Amino acid sequence: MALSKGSGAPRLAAGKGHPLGLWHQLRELPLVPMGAIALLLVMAIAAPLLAPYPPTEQSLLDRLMPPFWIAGGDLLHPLGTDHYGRDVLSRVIWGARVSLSVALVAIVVAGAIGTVVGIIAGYFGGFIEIALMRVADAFLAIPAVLVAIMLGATLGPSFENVVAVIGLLYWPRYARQVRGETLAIKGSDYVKLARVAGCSSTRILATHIFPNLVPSLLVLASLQVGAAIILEATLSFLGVGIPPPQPAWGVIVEDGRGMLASAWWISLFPGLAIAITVLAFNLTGDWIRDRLDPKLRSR
Amino acid sequence: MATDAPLLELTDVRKHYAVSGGPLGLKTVGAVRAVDGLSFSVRAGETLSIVGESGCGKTTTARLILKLEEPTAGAISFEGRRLDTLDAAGLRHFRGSVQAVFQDPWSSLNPRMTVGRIIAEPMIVQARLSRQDRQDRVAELMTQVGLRREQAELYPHQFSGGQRQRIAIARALSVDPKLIVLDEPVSALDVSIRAQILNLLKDLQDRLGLSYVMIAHHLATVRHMSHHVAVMYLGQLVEIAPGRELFRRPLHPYTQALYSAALSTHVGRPLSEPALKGEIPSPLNPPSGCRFHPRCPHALAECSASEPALVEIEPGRRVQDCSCVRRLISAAAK
Repeated sequence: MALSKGSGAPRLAAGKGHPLGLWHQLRELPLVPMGAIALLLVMAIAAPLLAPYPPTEQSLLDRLMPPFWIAGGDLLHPLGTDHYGRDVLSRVIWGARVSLSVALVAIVVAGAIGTVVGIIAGYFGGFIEIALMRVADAFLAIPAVLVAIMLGATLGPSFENVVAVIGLLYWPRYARQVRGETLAIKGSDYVKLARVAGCSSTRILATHIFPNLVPSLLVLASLQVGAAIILEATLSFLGVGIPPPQPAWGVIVEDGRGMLASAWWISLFPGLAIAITVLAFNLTGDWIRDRLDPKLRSR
Repeated sequence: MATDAPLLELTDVRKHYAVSGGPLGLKTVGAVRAVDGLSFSVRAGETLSIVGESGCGKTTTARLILKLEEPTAGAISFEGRRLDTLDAAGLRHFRGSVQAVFQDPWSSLNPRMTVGRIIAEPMIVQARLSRQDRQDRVAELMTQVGLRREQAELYPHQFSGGQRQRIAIARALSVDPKLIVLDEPVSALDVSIRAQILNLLKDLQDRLGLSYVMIAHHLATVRHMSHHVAVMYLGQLVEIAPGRELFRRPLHPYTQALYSAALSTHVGRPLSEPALKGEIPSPLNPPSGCRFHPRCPHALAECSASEPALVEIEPGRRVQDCSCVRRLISAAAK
């Protein structure tokens, strides 16, 4: 109803009505990791504008140029070129688009499957719960990379397949967490009172249970983006992920693998990009968890 | 105010929880008799208080009345209709007529809903009202329970315990219920706030003609607002009487023990009865005969032999017909 604009929006404890509230909130933000994520997002969205060259444009005359600060380097290719003369900087920038979109879409897929499975298992219980949770346990017990390689090899390398593989491997974590929280919320007095008021199960799920799951889903998602990026890079590096001409970071690292001793810059920069991205997402995820985790907040 | 037909009636209601055991947990090895043969009725406009120690089955009783759980045996009727045979329309009517306020004001309000939305929820489900009508009603309810109407936009964590309990009461009132089940409505609150909330409940009852079933573990809490008081021990009633009668002359030894516990905090009043010793026995394996005999200060040898029945000794007053009770009554008569 009208009184409840944004009833699902979590309130951050500090700030409201505080004269210095905004400043305190700003100061507590993890500015460096968040800045890194913002930069990555800009790179991903504006790749065509930022990258000096198209990512797959070859220029055999300019092969294996080192970064500009090393003798033989040139500011035309600030981070050097690879063995086909492709600009490493352009490929890393385009790689942000590929890697971030794979990771985010995969996390959404995993989160959606996991949330549905977890809510059904937690709310309805009984045999359905036992069956669904044993399946989730089975998925958790399998070594992810091994299955990913197998699936990737079977399905063939493509964007959709990488998303499907990561989504399929990561949903059980969401399912387990959502089931546990659904059980706890289902037992709470406000759900009992909703039943006393005559709310249907659908209504209880939509207005009481799901909104209370959102904070921890966000936390888990932000912590898993990093893992998804690493898995995507691993698959691409092994040749069962994003197909090679496309500039996924894993693909670029693999391109330079054979020339690590002579042309280290090909692998180093996409590698750094992966490390920075994963670190930035994990630190931000930690921060979100600290701010939103109901268990920490209620104390 | 009170009419003769009972609003709520429980007839020999039992709730047993199966306890599983065995190596795979598939065998039923026993039953917890949380509620074991409960009969009482509540008339319109009246308050029935159910008093007893933790674990005596009073909260289970509340949940059975609210149809959050189904009884193992026996019947619960509301307005003469059995709850277990209600059709969809009947259930809808029941949900709109019986509301509840629970003990813990911190877990009974959804932290992600505004107060206005929490109060309006039963109306959204039960009544076809326009948004404007609903907002007006929420504002009216909030004033009625002593909150300000502007507070409808706030979230529960911005309120104190007493205020949260007021919100819970406003929500319960929103659909004009006939009966409100109050499950220890003040026991989680500061002592200084308790009287305020109890007075509010009393006022609302006088104004709106509500019936209450109030659960409490202290006789002192229910003293000033109960028309009838039922004392429960291990899933059974040991005594049920009009409030004034019960406080004037508690008959069952357990009621006397609760009564002296309630009075022992009063300065200058000597303890007239020995305080209760020991723990409440397990409802998984209740004592034979009178369930209270292992802790009863007046227990006789025959108390453990046969299970005493609840008998009516005065109009509206029933007590377990235990040998020691009979002796106490005749001793008092002399």
